[in-house]
This record gives sequence, structure tokens and C-alpha cells, in this order.
Amino acid sequence: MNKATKEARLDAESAVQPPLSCRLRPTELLGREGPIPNMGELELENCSDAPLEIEYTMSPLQFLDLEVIGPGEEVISEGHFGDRFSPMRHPAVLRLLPGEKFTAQVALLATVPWEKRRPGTYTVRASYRFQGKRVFAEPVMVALVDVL
Amino acid sequence: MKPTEVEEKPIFRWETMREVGSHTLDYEKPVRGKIFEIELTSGHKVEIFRADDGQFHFCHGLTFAGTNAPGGAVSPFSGKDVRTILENHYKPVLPESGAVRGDILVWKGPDGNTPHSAILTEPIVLPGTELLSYSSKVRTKNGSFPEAEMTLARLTSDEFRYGDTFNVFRRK
Repeated sequence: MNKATKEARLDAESAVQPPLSCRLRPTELLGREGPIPNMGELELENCSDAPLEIEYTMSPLQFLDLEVIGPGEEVISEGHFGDRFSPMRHPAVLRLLPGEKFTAQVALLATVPWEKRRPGTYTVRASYRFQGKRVFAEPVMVALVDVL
Repeated sequence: MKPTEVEEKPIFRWETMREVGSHTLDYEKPVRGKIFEIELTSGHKVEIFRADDGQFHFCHGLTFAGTNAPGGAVSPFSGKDVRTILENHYKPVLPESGAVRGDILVWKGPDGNTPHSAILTEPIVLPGTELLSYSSKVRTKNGSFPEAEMTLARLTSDEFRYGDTFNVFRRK
């Protein structure tokens, strides 16, 4: 591959590579009454060479959404994840240096109404709105055994 | 009877409301309204939000009885405004096992933020501890979601995941 072709390909890759990556993974969390089931850890990483700033008025998680596919293979999540927060008077900024990560714990089935829950396997796909686009995390599977 | 219906000394001096400007809350469906400055009965000033429809409010509007405002519901903002109300009109309930119906729960966030609050409707103490059990119930208005009564379990670790970082307060 000549230099021009290689550079063009790198340019094209960097053009489609979002500066922020979004990951979701199951995590174990201990609450005051023991382990909390179905928890996940969201990770946002600055994959660019420059600092990134996320301005928010409620929480950095206000731009997160969780789409959940239920045991019946249909989307059963409802509403927007970020709509559960309360606003501050003035915006705050989450600043991530190159390579820096922000993590937060989220309930993987947060957007699934209780009345729609039944035992089975759920697929959770997180997405994060940043600079007018959505970055998607790899889906995470959740096995729900008990429904309270 | 809801705890908000209990007779309490007012926090806000409604006659002092002064419009500051237009404001839009950044929910999926943006909520348009206005910001007002208002004096508390303690003399301190805070800023509050009133939606154009006069109905919309978020958690702090429910918790601090902003829904009783003449002319439409108002909500104090998370962070400094809520802290000002707490410091001047509330006292902490310690240990939290001493909480009673009508006390309020306020969650702590980074940088002094107060991301959520709710009214305790059914306190249940976790046996053998000085902590409230997740089976305790609260009256809550979670962001733009409808007002509802739910267990602390749903608020702390499931649909709303505000975590265990709450403190209990009671009116002075």
C-alpha cells in the first residue's frame, strides 16, 4: 500500500471513529441489604487525542439510553433513561482527558417497567448521545430469575 | 393523606417571586418555562423553575411543596438552591432509623449536587441496624416521570438508581 492510500484510509477511519466510546458490562454491587441484582457499569472513554467536554444540566447520565429486548424478542424498554434526573440551575462539565474514562453504575433493566418483567433473558444495549450522534455499546445479556 | 398535606410553616414567600428569564429543561421532550428568584421565609433567596403549563414539576417541587405555589407549580433547582433550603429550614435525622412519615430524603451527588429528593411515607427500619430498609416507601417525582409512591428499592437500586447516598431531614 502506498503512503497516499494508507493515509487516506487512516483519514477515513478517524473520520468514522467517534471520539467517545461507550461500554456497558455487568457488575456486582453490594447495597445495604446485600447484593443488588442486575447492575451494570457504564464506561465512557475519550478515544481522541484532545480533551473532551460533556456539558450537562442534570447528570452525565442524562445522555444515556438503555434499549432492552425482552425474552419475547421484542423491545420492552420504555421512556428515556435521562428523563429521571432533576435539573441544576447552571450546567456542569465533565472533562475527559485523552484516554481518560468516566464510569457509573446503572441498573441494566432501568428502562423496563416492572409490570413487563418476567423470568428470562434480556438484551440491553446502551447508547450515549454525544456531539449530536449516538455511540453504542456492545449489548449485554441479563438473566432475570426472580420477579418481585 | 399525603405528607405534603400536613400543615407546616411555609418555606417560600410567594409574594417575593421575581422573574429572572426563560429557561428550558433538557428532557427528551424539552420543558419550557421560566426561572424565578424567590425569598425564603428565612430571608435567603433561591431560584426556582416554573413550566409554562403551570403543572410540570420535578422532585424538589414535590418535596418542598412547590406544587402549592399560587399560579402554578414550581421546583427549586438541584444543588445550591436545595442546599440553601435544607440548611435553613431542615435538620438532619440521625440515625435515619428515627425517620417518621413526612420526613424527606435528599440524595447527594458530585460537586454538591442534590440529584433527587422524595417524601417518606412508610418508614421501615432494617432489622438490627439504624438504617431504613429498601422496603420503606416514599412519594416521589422522578424527573419528568409521573409522581408515584414506590419502595426505596426501586429508587436506590433499580429503575431510578439514585443509590444509597441519601440523608433524612425533618422540618425545623
